[in-house]
Amino acid sequence: MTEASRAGPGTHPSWGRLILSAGLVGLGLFYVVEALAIRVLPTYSRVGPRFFPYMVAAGLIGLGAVLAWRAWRGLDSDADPAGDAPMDRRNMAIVLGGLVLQSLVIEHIGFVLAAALTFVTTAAGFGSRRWLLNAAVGVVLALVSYEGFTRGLGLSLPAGPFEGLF
Amino acid sequence: MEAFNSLLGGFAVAITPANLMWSMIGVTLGTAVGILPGIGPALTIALLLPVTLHLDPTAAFIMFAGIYYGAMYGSSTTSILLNTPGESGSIITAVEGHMMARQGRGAAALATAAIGSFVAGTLGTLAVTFVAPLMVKVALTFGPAEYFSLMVLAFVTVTAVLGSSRLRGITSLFAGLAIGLIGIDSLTGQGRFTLGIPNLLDGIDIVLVAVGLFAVGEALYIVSRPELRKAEILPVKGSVWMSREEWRRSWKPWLRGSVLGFPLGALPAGGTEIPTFLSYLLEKRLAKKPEEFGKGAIEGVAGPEAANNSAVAGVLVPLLTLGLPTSATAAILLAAFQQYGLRPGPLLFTSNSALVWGLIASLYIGNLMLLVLNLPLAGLWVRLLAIPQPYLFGGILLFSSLGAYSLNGSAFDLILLWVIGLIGYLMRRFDFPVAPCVIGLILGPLAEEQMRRALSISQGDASVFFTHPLSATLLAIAAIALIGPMIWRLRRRRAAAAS
Repeated sequence: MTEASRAGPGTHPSWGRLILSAGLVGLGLFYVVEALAIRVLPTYSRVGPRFFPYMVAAGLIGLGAVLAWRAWRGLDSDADPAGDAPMDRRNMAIVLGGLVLQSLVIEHIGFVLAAALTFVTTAAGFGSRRWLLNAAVGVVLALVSYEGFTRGLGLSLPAGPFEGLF
Repeated sequence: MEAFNSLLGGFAVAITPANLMWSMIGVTLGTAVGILPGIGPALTIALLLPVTLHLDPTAAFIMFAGIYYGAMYGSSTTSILLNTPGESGSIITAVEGHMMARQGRGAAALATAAIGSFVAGTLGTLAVTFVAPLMVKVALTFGPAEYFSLMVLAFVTVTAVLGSSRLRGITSLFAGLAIGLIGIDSLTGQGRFTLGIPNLLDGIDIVLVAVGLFAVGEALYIVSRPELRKAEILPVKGSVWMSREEWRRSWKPWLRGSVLGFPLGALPAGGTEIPTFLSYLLEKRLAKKPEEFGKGAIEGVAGPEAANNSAVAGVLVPLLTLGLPTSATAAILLAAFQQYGLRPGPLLFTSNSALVWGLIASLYIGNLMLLVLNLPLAGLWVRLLAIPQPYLFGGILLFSSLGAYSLNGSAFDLILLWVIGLIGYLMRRFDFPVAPCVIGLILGPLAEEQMRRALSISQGDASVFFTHPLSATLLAIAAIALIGPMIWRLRRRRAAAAS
């Protein structure tokens, strides 16, 4: 790093990056603990199923430590690559929430309703608030995919009230 | 001559009506996903993997190759008219091409990109035809030690090349390696890192990781950045037929780009960014009017677009002959081979020669189809960009859930999908490249297997990697690629400090 960039945007710690690096170190430590639990046959004394996991864990811990040091010194820019407008947390939560909800309900309400739900929440997150129209588009798209993929290609998807109408 | 005969046999496979249809579907789909921002060839092929499980492998690979080639054509259209590259290989095209479009020369930019892609794609495929059999001969001499060293080299070059920081690239690679460790150990048959969850015994499917990182991660990132949600599409202006002057200025960059792209794609140096960037610099240096660069120089579109397509052809050489993926899409293609129980490598050319040569022959045909699809029809394709963003991403996430769920028919995979999507969001937010993670995930288990095999042959003596000459050479190149730039930077800093 040159003097210019050190004096540049980040001379203060970057907290987001610091948390991320701590997560990497934590993951590495967790991998060490888990690798210790792998059973090793005596014949595999030198390079058994633990060796490669140890290398990966060491890498994660080492990289996390270097990244944490750089984050503490503010060496990596904290700016978002796409620009510095404020983050749209609300719409992000809507899109993510739709996916989370889908993963919880799909086996209860069937693929078509769950997928249509994801379609509507995603469209809403991206700024379209025509709920009825979006719901109709979502149901039709999901129903066509359901029929096409289960009948044409033999996939199995969970059924709900809409499935099997045809 | 041997290659020529094999190729003729390949054409006999590729020219059957069914395979022509799959090629047509592939190139059409590829052009579409290349044009649409937010989906690329890696994601598309990943989504198609569960769906094509029961398809004939030759047909599936002809379609996948069409998607890979087609996406390179389509993404140039988006770069030129929208100034957002559809794929990473088109970042440079977005610079000059978009300036041309602003000056009302959009049609000429599209034409030089399409014809250049065709020229380079055909030359690149020709090179694959004759280089691949030679590579097979080299690959046959590889033992486990050489394979492991080759993978180490690929790890180093892929992380050093992709993205803005090599440290973050290596971190992304290690995240992929860590995910790859989850599941049953292939040599001892016991589960590792499964946390006692039975769904994790089979490991985390690469489709899930690719779809989570590329589709969900991208959707979450774009929705979180309001400024990324609006884009201005320029109309196609000017004649699609290039003027004599434009031809004169384009043909040399096409050829130079082709020559530059193929070897850089074929080396385990990762993807299409480097050759396109080098081609741009080269054209700028050779141009009679370098001052036009940055303001819409046609050479700056022709060269990089050719380099990018020829690099894609180059990527196929290590993939087919060594089973070594050097880009995210190639990693997914490797997963596709594994899905069909095939192992790319020198033996594939003898055991599945109809598939390999049919695939190569289909590339010639696909390229021709793409020229026809993209040159006169560019104006039609542009209408895809009119799909409103809410519906585009709604559709992408709907199909992503479908693909993720149908992998194992389990809602657990949908939970993993949004967890991985969140990781993908964080990687974009903090500027970690995504491709090394996908490559690490697929190559990690293979590297571990080869390493342990090499060490059990040598009875635990780790010096095999350094005493086999080929293996030692590969490791030396990897070390130079990793440490070289650091030393160079250090020396330059010292020199700057001294002066």
